[in-house]
Amino acid sequence: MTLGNAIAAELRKLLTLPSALLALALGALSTLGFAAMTASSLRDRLDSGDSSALAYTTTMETGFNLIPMGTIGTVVLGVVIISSEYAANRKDAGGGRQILASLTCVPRRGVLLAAKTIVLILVSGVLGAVTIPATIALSQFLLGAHGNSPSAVVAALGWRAVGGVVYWVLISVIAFAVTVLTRSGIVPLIAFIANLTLVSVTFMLTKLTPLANYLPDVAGAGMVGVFHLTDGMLDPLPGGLVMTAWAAGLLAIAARVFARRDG
Amino acid sequence: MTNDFRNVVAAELIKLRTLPATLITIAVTVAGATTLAVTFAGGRHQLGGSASSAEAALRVVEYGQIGFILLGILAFATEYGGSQIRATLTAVPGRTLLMAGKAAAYVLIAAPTALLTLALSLLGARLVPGMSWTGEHVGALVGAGAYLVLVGLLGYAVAALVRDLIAALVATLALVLVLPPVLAGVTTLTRYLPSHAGTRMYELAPALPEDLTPVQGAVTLTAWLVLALVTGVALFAKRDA
Repeated sequence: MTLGNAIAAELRKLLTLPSALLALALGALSTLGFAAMTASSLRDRLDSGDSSALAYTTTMETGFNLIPMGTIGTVVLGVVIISSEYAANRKDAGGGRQILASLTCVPRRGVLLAAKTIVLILVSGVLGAVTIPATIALSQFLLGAHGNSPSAVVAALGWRAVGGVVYWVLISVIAFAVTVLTRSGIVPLIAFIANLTLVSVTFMLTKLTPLANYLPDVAGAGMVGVFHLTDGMLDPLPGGLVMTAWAAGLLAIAARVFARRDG
Repeated sequence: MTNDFRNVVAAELIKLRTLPATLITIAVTVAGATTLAVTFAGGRHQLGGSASSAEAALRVVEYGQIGFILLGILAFATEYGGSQIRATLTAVPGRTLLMAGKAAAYVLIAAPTALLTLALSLLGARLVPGMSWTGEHVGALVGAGAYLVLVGLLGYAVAALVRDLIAALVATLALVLVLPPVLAGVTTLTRYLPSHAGTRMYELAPALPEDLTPVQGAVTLTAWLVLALVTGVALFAKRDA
């Protein structure tokens, strides 16, 4: 089977997986929905002359600062694209795991893993490329008179929006590579969802050692610029490269393990 | 097996404690919490803490709760990994009885785990040079233990609603960890969210001025749990296995 066919097959498998569709909906709708609520509430407070409204945010950042939260969608996507292969069927339906059928169709494991990676990058990339600009546009629209002009928005958020899409894609690839190793979705889901919230362990570590700035999510945060900003944080380009190196490295380890072990 | 409540609890306890995932979850939770408490104590100058070991132990709760949520989810969702639920329901056809037995088995495992988690976190932090504990914040520590057990019951109820481990995990973590900070900028009603209200049971000072009192927080979290558990039991009794 050629790589092209394997990609077509994996794309169809992913887009017909209920949990993957839920992940897409979760990523897109929660980001848009919370952005709409935040922007409307900020507009109301600005309309009523609330001076504390802009204490922790700006009219430019509102909505856009939900980009880290939105990675929950691409993380779940990266996890279920491979953990679903290892989930056992019910015993009365044979008790089989889909990975055996997948490897029967695509015996070359490198091809199967490459096809999954490409499909994941494609789907999470499209999700980010649609959701992130839509979130910015919706937030600015809902701010009404307090919104910024389109040219000012592009100047201020343009490269950071691109960075946000890259961040969403890379975090899903990293979650995918880790799940290839664990084969169960529990550990990666806990680690990645907990870490994108206030209880982020990686950002806490940046206060203890500057080396933590090279952890994948902290390094990549420079591309988006809305996380718990710290002093030693890497610039967008080196940060993005460090995060890409993490994704590539973990993927290489995952490929090595996947190629050598029994299904 | 006669369907005596004690027998149901005994059976569920055996099932839960012989599950490899349960033992791993408990071990990782206790070890992870202790490590974090030592980190908070040792790095108190960079991380903004005091020399109080109790404070370091209380900061761990926010992270440690993940282990209890997973424990609660495992207590229910593992039945649906295969078709074990059918064997279980053949043995115990009373569905409300079964849900109660499972919840009791979870509490019997979660309560000592919470005690161990907090005791070792306190001890670990205390052993860091310069740290002390003179018996302060005992009320908050007791509240922390109760919160950890209760938040796991939330995971248990969500698992009963969705009947899938991964879905229950994503939903509960989103509800407990992601939702409160995201909504905090929009509405002060977040103080009534289960995890935010429950946080008041062990927090030393309210994070937001409009927050509930510790007792109100505990009552609010309990009310959410009653609602979730009653819905879970009702659906479990109504649905086909």
